[in-house]
Amino acid sequence: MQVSNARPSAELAPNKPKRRLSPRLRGNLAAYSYMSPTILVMAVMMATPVVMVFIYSMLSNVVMVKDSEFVGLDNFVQLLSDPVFRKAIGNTLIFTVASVAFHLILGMVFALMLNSGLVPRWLSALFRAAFIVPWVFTASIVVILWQLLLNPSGVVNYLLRTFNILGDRVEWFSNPSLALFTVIFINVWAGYPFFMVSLLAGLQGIPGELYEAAQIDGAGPWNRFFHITLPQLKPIIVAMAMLDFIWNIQHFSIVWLATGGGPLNATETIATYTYKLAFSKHQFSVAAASGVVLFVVSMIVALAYVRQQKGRD
Amino acid sequence: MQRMLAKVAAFGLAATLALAGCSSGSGGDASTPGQTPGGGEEITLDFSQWWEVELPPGMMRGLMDRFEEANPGIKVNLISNPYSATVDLQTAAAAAGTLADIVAINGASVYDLKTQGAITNLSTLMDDAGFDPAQLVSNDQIDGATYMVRALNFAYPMYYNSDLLNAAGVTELPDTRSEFEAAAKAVTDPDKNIFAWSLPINVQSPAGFDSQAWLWASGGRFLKDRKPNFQTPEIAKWLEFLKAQYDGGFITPGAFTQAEQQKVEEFTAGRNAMMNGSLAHIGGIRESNPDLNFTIGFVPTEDGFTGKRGLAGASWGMGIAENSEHKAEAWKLIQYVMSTDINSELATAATGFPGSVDSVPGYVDGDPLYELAFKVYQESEFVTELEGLPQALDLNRNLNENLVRLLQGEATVEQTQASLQEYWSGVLG
Repeated sequence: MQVSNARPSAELAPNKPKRRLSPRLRGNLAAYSYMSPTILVMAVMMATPVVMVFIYSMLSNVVMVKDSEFVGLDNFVQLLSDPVFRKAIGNTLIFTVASVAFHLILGMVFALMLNSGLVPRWLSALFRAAFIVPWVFTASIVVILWQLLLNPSGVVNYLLRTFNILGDRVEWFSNPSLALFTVIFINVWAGYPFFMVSLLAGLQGIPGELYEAAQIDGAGPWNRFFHITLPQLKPIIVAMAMLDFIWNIQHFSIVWLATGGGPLNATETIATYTYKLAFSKHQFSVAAASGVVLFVVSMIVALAYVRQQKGRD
Repeated sequence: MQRMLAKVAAFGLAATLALAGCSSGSGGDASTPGQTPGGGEEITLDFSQWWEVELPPGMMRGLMDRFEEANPGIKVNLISNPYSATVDLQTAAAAAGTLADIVAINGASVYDLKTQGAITNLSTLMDDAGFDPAQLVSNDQIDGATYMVRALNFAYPMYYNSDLLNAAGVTELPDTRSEFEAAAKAVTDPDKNIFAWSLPINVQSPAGFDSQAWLWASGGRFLKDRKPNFQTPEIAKWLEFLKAQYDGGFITPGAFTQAEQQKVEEFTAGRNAMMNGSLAHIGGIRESNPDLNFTIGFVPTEDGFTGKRGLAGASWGMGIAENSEHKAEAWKLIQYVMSTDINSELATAATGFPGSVDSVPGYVDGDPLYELAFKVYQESEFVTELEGLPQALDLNRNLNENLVRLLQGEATVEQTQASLQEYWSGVLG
């Protein structure tokens, strides 16, 4: 008897029941249908604006004229040839790296202090509330507060002059060589509590036995910190640093409210530069190109963050 | 499975685009039709403005309620935000074609909105409604047509702290730059935190006319036939005056990032002897510091100047969106705001000068300070040189950046003039 491997055609097998979806595929489809509202919302709220900005960055004078033309990478060339943009890149990097570093250092110091057991419980609760206060304020309140304190006729200058630390009043925001340092300081003050809270949670999760064993082996406080605390906190530190980097590289509000990128572009960041391009010069296409540059850098760090999280899982 | 996923993704994308299309389509018409009790179509006009935020509570809504009563079937929805937020939102809405039916604008934004095709030609609407433009104090035109109607004008005279000046032995208000310099020298006392005046030249929100007022007072101008004209002896003398004031230490420290409001606070707190500011500040100063003894006067002019003094001014204007489907009704609202009584009421509340020729602000009678201010206004030429220019905000920002460079010692007067001429020529042609 000869057996044919050929499948019967549809004409030859009219009564064959329809192929059913496999249970796994059905399961996946159900899952995707449940997720579809979220996917839809994300597509509309996130993907569409991003795609539009990419498209705008390659059109001429978009928004201001109705018949924009495709100009390829011209807007990027114009952007990169502007010395103010290059200065903004440098300032943004200094602002971001310094902010992340000091957020981490201050957050760690305060978290260690609150977790040390040296501070009485009631005082620790008080400190915890006090240290978190900067995080509660909105950017505008933070800036107004520090503008009052750092005003040339304000409290800080008064104290510095009264105690003969400085002879002349200091123009913290108006002096081009001090302005960037001042806005970084304010940003560090406003942002360290987030690190402190996260690191404190991490510290409280480290088993006490590790420290006891190390102590028995003769490890001092520095050794315990570098060989137990830091390695145990490493996943949190790395994740927080990456997130903070992304937040700070596109930071706008504090810098804008305090100095607007001035004086003499001393505090110009990519975010303030982009805002001025769009809403002052009305060069929306070049502003979109600037936004794309910021987006790409943020995405690189975001992807690194996702990989780090996956590796951790 | 991959094909299935691709289909799901394609469906999602199509749905997204459809949704986006729907949203942009519906956004084009800012006003909302409904039904009146009588069965006619009721429309709602959106009015985007910053006025409600700056006027006494309930004032703006009250005016709109009276308009609605007088015009059955028309409702007004006030969209109120601070000035800078209103301007930013308008720029974005103009691009998206979703501008509110009526928009509060001023000379800094009118040209750009017109260029975007976002605001409509009001001359046509005036003709259709039989409105005589001669009723307007000023009828600024771009390319021969009106795009903005000025509801109010705000004058920026000089404020003088009488007590500080008297204590320094200055018995008469300075009339010339030399007299001002002498007065500034006499009152400035850094140890007591007292300075002659503030010069806020920040770049985030360049407002006020603290630097420009000195040039305009003496008849100088930035433009000639709407083209930049910075390389003149008047501009050089003006820059030299500002530089001398800064180098002399008469200006409150922190000028490069100081905001308009901080300047007013310095004067209100009695730390500045003089201030150039809007008349609208009188009420706020009196409320915050009732004991402050101050008066109003002219901005001092260049020594030997004999012409008519210039007085810096700003405006609250109104325009109608090109995308509005109810332009005639929107014009009705503008005409209502410009009517004699309503315009007087608005001017009184905002401490501005009416945009309608027949209106008289109520504050003028009885208050000596306002009477003095009105006298200064009447005897001066109202200067709004930067209004109606393309990218007016950017030009102001560039002016401040150049002034910072000059005062910081990083540019000479000549270099500042050349830099301003070059940048402004790039924008204005």
